[in-house]
Amino acid sequence: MSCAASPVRRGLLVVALVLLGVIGAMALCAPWVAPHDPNAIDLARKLQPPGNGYPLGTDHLGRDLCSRLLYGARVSIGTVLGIVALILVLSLAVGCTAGYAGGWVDAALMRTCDVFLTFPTFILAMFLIGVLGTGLVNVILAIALTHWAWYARIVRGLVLSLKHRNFVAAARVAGTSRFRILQRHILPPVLAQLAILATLDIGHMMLHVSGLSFLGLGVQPPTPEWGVMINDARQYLWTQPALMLYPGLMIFLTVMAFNVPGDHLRDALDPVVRTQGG
Amino acid sequence: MAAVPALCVTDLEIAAVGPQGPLPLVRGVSLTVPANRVVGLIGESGCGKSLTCLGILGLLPGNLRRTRGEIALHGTPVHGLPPDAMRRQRGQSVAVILQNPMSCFDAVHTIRQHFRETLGSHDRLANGSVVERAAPVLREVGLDNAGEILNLYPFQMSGGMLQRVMIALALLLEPPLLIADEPTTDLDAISQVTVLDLLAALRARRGLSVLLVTHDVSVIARLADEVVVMREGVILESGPVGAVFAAPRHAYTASLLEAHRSLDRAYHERLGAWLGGTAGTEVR
Amino acid sequence: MLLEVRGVAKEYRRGGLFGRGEPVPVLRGVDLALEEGASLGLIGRSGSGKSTLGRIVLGLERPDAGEVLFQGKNLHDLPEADRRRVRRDLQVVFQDTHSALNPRRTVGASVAEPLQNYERLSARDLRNRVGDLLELVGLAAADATKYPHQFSGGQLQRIAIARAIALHPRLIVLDEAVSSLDMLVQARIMDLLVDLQQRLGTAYLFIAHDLRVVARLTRRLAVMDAGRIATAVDLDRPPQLSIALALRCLMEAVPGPPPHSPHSVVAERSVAAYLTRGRGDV
Repeated sequence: MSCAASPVRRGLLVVALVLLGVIGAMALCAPWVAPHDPNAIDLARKLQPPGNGYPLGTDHLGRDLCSRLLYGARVSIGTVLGIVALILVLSLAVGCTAGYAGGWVDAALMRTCDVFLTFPTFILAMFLIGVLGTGLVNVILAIALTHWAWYARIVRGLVLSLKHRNFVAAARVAGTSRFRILQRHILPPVLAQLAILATLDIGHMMLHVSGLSFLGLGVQPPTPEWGVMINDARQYLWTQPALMLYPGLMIFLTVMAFNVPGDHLRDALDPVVRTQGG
Repeated sequence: MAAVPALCVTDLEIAAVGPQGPLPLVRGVSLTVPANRVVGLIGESGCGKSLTCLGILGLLPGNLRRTRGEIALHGTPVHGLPPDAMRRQRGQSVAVILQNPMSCFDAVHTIRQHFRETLGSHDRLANGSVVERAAPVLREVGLDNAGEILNLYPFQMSGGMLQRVMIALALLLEPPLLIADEPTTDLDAISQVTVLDLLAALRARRGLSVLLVTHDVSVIARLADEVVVMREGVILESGPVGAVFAAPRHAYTASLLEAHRSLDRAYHERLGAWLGGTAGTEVR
Repeated sequence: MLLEVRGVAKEYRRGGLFGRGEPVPVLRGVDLALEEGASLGLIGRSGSGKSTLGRIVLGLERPDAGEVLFQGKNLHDLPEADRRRVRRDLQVVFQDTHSALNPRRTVGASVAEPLQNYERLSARDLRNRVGDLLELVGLAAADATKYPHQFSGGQLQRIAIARAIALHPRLIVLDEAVSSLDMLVQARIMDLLVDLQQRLGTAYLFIAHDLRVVARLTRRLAVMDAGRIATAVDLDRPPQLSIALALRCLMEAVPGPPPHSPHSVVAERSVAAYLTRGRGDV
């Protein structure tokens, strides 16, 4: 971490990391920690306030809100991580090939990117869901396919600028194969940059997933997912606001928890800043 | 009657402000550039000579601060000025040229736009178009085709040419003092000669005062009237070039001079008869 | 003959709207020869084509015409596998100290790279070899764990030299390797290079613009001007009756000893004409 960060910034980072840890733990430990089965419907107990073994109350179908939040963490975060992984794979593959190979390969790949970039992301996502159908995996595919092109362009730009640096030429003269040059000299800074961008974008993608689910295009009932939960709770906004508030709060906190470390990641990955004392 | 010195620095201190308190990088620096003289500031890389220039101009980066010292440009104290007033002073009374000319220009703007920016930021655009204002200074630095040059981008020009354009931009506002920080270091040997000769001619023609920062003794010898020797953030000695070079008071200065002299001796020995000057020149 | 350059020509296309602008010739038929263990200084003004020639000799760029023979084989016609074998004996030191080493890797890793490519060494052997190389160029073995930004310009060039000699190459191309350093640091690096040559028998192709520096290393010069070799000079032989203008100007660019350094008088008109020829620039 940067020693020059002020105490406030460092405090914020600690809070964010703790939060991330808690949310991660929630997601991982849901099966053991959740007081009830999140999908267990019990209409007799619907819309109850907290109490009686239901720490946060129940929703309109009598399902335990707390358990649904916990299991929802798995779905929401798992989905987002799946999206990020797919985007990274696609953008690295396309961006590195385009940047390193150049020529008509570069041109062809970039025109493909242009096609994807032409459409507004949400519209494209909805179209893809329409084609692929609803469901968790399709949500991951759809959102990844709408976002990868932007990252691919950035990767390509970075590869182009690194390709011409003297240390790459020196590596070629030293006998390093093209593949190894990619691995040793080009990928590390590209991955670092992508990691920073991805953490900052995770919030955006979470909102995308939740948004699609809110519209009924994403995760299907009864799978708990924070966006779906907000959708379901719309009609109960005035009677049982907790049903909407808690999932919304979880989304907000998760987005924050990813954004703040993203800022610090740049410093952590930069050897110049890391060895400032040297 | 003593003219007002172009630059007068007294007891300048520059420190890096860090978590462990301020760390002084430049201490107790005092120097004077009299009117119409060239003062050379010489030292190794990292001795603080560039920082001194930035401190004088109020252009210190990030966590560096001027913690002590008085600076007077043409008799006017400027060390206490707020940033805006300092900017105006910078435009009117002192101009700067730096090392590595390519990095001082904005790659996406033509030379014309650079001229316009310089003229515009000091409200001189009213008198005539950019070409009218630029052509005379460009001619003065030896570039006669102002119309062509103004349309070029920085990357289309060589280092020597860019350096001359930078000097032209510096002269545009007719400052009496020029601070040149390693102006020839990144140029090839022949361009170095032409830039130095240009500075000498400008000094003669315009009465320009120059603070010339360099690591190369031969640049000082060629151009400077007085020399200031700096090492590790402090000034070791100063005085007229002839006097200091003939009889340096400090051991470091003596070793610096001796090292350069031995370089030259070695060069002249190696080249031997080739430097005799008796052979003619074949013109191709 | 270790290195032979025959009739190498290269031009760049200034990009027009569709990428096919007018061609700009950078090299117009260059011939060079260098024996084992010898040094050749390739000097000229910026824009004379010397760096491009250096890159072509290193195999980083292909010439449009002519050939480069290294140890008797045409460098650019070799299949990739053979070229890799040849690369072992042909190394480089670049000018820009700060971009010639990967800033994210330790200097030890950068120096070890050629060794990792060509030799199978255990981790400990590799560390020892790197330590030996760093000491050979005047640094400490413990410096291997530091990053480039922790060193001065002169030290970075020493590290680059350590990387270049790691495989005991037959030829090292030094592309303005000392041009951005202080005069005194330049002299010390030149002395290091001379010392290494005596120990290892490496040949040098030293590209530079400053005669003072080149003269420390070698007696043989090739002066480049506008993409051609204007003249090839052997300083051990007496000067020719007339010295090529390009060389004369380079000599004039070197000042005499302090405190005063007037140029020696030369036909000013011809010098002025030389300076304003071509692109009309300096």
